[in-house]
Amino acid sequence: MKKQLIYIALAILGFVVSCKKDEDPKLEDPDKRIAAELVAKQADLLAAPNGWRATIYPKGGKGFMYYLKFNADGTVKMLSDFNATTSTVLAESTYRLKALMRPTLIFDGYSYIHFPADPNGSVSGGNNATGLASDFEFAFTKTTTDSIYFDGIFNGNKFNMSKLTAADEQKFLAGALKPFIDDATTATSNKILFILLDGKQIPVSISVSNKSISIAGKTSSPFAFKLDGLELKSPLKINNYTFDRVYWDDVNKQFYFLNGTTKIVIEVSLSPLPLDETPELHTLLASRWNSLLINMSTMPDQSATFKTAYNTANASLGTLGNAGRYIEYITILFNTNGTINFQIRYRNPSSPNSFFLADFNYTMNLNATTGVATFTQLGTPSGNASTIATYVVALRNYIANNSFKIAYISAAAPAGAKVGGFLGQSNPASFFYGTLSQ
Amino acid sequence: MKKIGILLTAIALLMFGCKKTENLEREIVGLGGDTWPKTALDTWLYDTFTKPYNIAVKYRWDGTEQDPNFTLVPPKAENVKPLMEMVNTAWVQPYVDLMGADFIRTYAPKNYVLIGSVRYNSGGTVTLGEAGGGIKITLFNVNNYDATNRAVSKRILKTIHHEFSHILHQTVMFQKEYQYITPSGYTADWNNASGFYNKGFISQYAQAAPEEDFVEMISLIITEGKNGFEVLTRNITDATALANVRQKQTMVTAYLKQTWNVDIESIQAKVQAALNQRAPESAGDYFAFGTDKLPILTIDPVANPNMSAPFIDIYNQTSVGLAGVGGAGRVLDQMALIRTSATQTTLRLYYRNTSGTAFTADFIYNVTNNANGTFSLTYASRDANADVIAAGVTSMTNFLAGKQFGVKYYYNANNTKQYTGIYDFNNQGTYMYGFLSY
Repeated sequence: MKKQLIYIALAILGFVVSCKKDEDPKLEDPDKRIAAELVAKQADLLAAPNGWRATIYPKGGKGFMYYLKFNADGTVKMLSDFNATTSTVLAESTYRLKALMRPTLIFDGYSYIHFPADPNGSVSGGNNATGLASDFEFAFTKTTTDSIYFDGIFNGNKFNMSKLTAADEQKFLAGALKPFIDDATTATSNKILFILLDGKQIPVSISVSNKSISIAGKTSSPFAFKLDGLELKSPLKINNYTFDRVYWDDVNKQFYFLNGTTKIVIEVSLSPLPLDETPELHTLLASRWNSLLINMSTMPDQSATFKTAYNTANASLGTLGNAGRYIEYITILFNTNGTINFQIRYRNPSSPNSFFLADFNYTMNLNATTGVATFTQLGTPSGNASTIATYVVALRNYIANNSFKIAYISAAAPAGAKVGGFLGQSNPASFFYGTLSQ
Repeated sequence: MKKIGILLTAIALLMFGCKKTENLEREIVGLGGDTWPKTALDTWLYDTFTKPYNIAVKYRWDGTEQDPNFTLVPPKAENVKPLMEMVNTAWVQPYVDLMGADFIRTYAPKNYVLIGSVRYNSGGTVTLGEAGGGIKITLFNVNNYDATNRAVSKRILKTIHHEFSHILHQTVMFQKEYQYITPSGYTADWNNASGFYNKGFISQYAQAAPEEDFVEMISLIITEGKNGFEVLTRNITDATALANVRQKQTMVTAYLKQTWNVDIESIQAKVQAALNQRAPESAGDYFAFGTDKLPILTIDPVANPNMSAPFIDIYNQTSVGLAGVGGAGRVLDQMALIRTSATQTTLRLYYRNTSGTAFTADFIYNVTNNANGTFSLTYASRDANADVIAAGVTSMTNFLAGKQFGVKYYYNANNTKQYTGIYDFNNQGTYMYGFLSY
């Protein structure tokens, strides 16, 4: 009986406890929590009295920065380094916060943030159909006192915002971005850039239009503009040096890196940089490489000085008997005995099926260490060379009166060709180059 | 006895212990759609579409509306109103004017979604408009919408009229005989089936199914306009195919009239009037000599009243003069201007004698095209019938000679008829109009 009573009592207890039905969730109602979270997130967005600086590095390449100022009425103002217009004309569009899988910031009206995401390649600068694979819906991932971090919903790009100071905001609004981008373009486009690291010239390339920087072709990163330099998506690492951003010297209009507190200036070279290759080109003349072909039409990056000499000689050659003779191309033949033939191949329009070769011979005095050479005329020009010698004197003087460093360089040439340069030593802005062959 | 007491207690506990109350008033998050502070555009869309016709226009980005396999961007807010104004004036209002607001309220697709870019499909094609389930219409490429570009507006309108017509025939099916006009032409492989015109179809997609054929006919008649549609049929060189298309045209006209009491010509004229307000087409481009033109302009003041009084005077004088020739009492029925070649135009008078026999008389004029876009006529010759009546119809023959004439569209009072007319360039209150044919 006692046993029975215990069981009954237990059963009753079970009923009493198990039937307690509490519909209220342990931590508030999830719907309310979502709503509260979104309100809090919007408060975070609005808690930047001077606006935000945001960056995105789309999957499809490049990097972009945005000045963003969110308003409580659902509008957002923005500037961007996307192009000249976006850097000066403040655009207003709309944004919305929505609870998707995570609290999400959606730029739901078209503005600069959508440019890299636009599937129209002529807008984004990427491919049709995908654009640069950027994002305009962002899930909140982390909020700190002065930054908010997001993940793109569609393409998964990271999107980070950090608060601006009043002074920086004023600079953005005053249009400081565009003149900086213009200066940066002037400082880098069509320029041969290098840095001096450990006493060596190391080529650097910065493309403002492609938003990318690389050092020696070995390490590269997309970048986005800051007011005082470039922000890199990933640090550049070369020879034990790591550079995580690029600074701008507004007085000298040049970029520089910082190694600790030491400035490493990105300098402009007047002549192409010798490529860091071993064995060096000057040690292989007349063995690995037997000739250098210089064709002005396929190798347009020649120095102005060389072009002048070439054009003078060419024009002068045309006056020979007023026949309109012209230079087709020039070949420098390296001979095993240390001489070279500076061979001008020219044509005469009156005999369209023939060409003529004129060989001017020089002794090459080559410094085996530095690769610097001078040329001394060998003998008197004969044959065709004798015929045209006085007409092409500009080219002959150019060769005879300069000293050249002979080295591999990188310059515009037919695809696949190995390029050798003759870099003037007394005047760095004077050089010429051609393609090497055996 | 004791046992019964315990049992009763247990039952009582069971009955009351599980009483639970649930809060049924709780709001569900996201029910009722997203909300945001209303802009002027939101208000305009609400007042123009949502409130009167229960049509929602979603222009703010909502990723859930779209296939996640495509990269798309939201539309520019400033392009939304021009586009939707066009949709309103060239789709909603014509039906509202003729059928009343309830017609649109009942049958129109309820959900418009606007997308900024086109949709790039895997095959290299792009999608400009899409409709689903009679409920949702997605319009792409809003960012490139230009209200003055007729081709763009026409394409969008065609999508809308196409889908709307689907809803109509899905509500009341069209004539069973329709599918037997060109029964063998329908194919699922319609996009690879060429030569649709001479198979008796007005568009390539019309070959997909009788339903598509039916709504293609309606949407093309409406959006191309009377002249545009006639020019389309000039592509059909096969007599049987042309007869089939004409039969389809008759059937869609009869269907709309009998089933819905919709006069397709009135809708057509209203849509064209709305289109011509923003993106006018030149009526003169149709009234010209050529196999892709409509060279015959028939003028009948009885069938098409309200031509200018000065012209009616001339016409009436011509009529009286004709009757007076030889006292024979001939009756003028109508007249036509026919562009018989690039350089000549014929004035053809249609008349009957007292015994009812019909005659035509041709007066041939040389055409000069003037720099201001007008043309002038100079009398050249006439045929034998014209010789007989010439003295009686000088009012008309003199009126045509020596003036500069322009070509444009004329509408009746409530835009339910669109006429192609000719006006005296230096006296634009004098005009005549009619319909073009070939």
